[in-house]
Amino acid sequence: MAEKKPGVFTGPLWTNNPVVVQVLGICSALAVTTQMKPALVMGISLTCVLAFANVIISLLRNTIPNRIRIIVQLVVVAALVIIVNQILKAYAFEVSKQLSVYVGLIITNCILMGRLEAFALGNKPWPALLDGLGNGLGYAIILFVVATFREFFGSGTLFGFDVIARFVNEAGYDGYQNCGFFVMPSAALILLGCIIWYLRAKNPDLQDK
Amino acid sequence: MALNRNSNVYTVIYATVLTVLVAVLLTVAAVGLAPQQKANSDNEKKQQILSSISSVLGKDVTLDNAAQIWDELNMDQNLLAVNVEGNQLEGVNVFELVAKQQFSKGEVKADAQLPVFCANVGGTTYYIMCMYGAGLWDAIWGYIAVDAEGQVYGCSFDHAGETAGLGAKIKDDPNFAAAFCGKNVWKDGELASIDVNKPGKANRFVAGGEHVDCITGATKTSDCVSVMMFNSLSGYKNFLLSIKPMALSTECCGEAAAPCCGEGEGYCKGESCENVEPENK
Amino acid sequence: MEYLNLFVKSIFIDNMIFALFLGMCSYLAVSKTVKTAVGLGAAVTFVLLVTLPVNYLLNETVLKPGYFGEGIDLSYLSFIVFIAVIAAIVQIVEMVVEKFFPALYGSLGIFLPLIAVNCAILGGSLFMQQKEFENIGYAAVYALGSGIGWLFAIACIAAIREKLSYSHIPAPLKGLGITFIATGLMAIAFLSFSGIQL
Repeated sequence: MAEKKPGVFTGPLWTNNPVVVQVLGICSALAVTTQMKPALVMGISLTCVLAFANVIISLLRNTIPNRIRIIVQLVVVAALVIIVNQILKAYAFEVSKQLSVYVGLIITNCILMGRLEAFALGNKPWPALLDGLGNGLGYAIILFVVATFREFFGSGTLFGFDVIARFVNEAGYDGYQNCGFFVMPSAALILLGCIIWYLRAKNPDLQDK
Repeated sequence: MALNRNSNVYTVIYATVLTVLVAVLLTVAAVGLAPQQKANSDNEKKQQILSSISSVLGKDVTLDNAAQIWDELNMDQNLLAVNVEGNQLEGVNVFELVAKQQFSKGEVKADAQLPVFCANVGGTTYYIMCMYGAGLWDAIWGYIAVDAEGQVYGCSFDHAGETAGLGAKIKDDPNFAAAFCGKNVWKDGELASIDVNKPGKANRFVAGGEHVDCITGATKTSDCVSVMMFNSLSGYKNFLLSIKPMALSTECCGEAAAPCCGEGEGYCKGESCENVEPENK
Repeated sequence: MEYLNLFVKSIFIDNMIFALFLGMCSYLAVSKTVKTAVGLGAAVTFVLLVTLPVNYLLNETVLKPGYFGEGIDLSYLSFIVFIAVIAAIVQIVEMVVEKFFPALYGSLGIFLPLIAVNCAILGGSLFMQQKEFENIGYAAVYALGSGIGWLFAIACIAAIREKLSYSHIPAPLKGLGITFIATGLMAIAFLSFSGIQL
């Protein structure tokens, strides 16, 4: 039976996080984080796709012809992404509109190809599932953190609920302006830079020489 | 027997089987979910259309109640398509008209089929018209509801990619759309539309026309809304003229009971004009 | 004029890196020196220029609802068709370049396999689909503009990183962290292009 691999699941959540440590899947991590809801849906979608793709490739690993390895992986991933996209369109219509093409871009999300190549091709389904879930959730956590900052400061809301403006109005002040900078793309880059800074300050092992 | 995983035959068969499997799976998923997706996008369209008269309805139109309100108002029976001459078109599936296809470079095409969604609420008919244009980043579109006099009863806006928190307020901030209520698109018989402008500035299309304040920090998007509304309403101009009740003329220069002269309609009765057609001319 | 507008817009305003975050992975991985960065940028531009018009044609024909007859809508297959076209074209280009332009292969070749899974390429196709261009000319211009915008961005950041390697940066911020922040600052600079209409 599958041996327990310590850290396969928990490692990617923080110390070996796919986004800030392995530097994979940055594109969508930044583009969908202006608000928390799409960020959450994106995180869940990627986790599902990654977990399923990892398991499928792991099951097929002994049958895939080496020459068409990459394209088989792409096809499996693309098929899963199409299904996710269709489901989102049917049951989470508004969020799917906000995510627009970034759902499709899960296909070329480097986390997927990276994990499939590096892990699923050489491991049994069970660890592959754990690895997929771990990396997917690690990605989701970063998305969520960035989105929380951006939505709170940029729009003064959390999950669409008015937070700042309500307090300010109750306290009798008016004229509070949200910081428009946080909804700009550049804010996401700088926030992510700061997260990496924090993480590397805590874990000196990760620092560049 | 061990298969040779690198042989051509194996590779080709493998690829074929995989393709077929994936194709079947995807087709099942797509066909199975298609009705739900169509219902979603129809519902969203209904919600956007009806949002423009939410002040008349006295309640917010959400995705949950849009279909219900739509049916209550019997909207399916009250759809028109008009051309730029203002004539009604027959045999057009109005609900399926795509606003984008009626516009070219931000202006209404000469052969456009423009949808009009008529809502009867409390005895008054509100004409809901579509708008479409270019925003700062990508397309913006929306609906505007007017009565026969050209008075605006509400608008709804949407956008493909305006800046979140700034330009996106055209959709997210209900106060922006609400500001249009009560304004009139006509000014002395000219289509003035409603300009979106910095506070205190005048209407840029027709002197003396109405205007609303732009969104702070999103002047560009506001300008785009302004242009979109003017261009879209221009396409509907002849239709709007055709529903507009003529003002009473003030001059009676002919005999009693004859039609009044000058601009406007009405019949002479003594020295003044009245809206009553005399029984015997 | 429309073409020029789209061209300038796709380089500066809808810049793939600074506004859409496409192709960040290779942007971060291959931006240590200007020379390799420019090589990758050129390869991306080239592949975009080849794949986008092809995908545009496919999107306008086979993927269009009703192309194979009334009621048959294959548009849900667009992701898989696009990625397959991209993967196939990248392979073919690699072989052609290796056979006929060995010198070019020496400088570009190593990047080509990477590009198949570069989000900038698929992203370009998906945005092209979303923008619903009127004809293939727009698609090609959009591809060229986006590619040059990407090349521009990666060349800039590579130049900055070359300089940065001589400066004193707090240890935890070295490498990745400062690259992100520098990219963010560049993105702010690029914001000043917004709203340009030609």
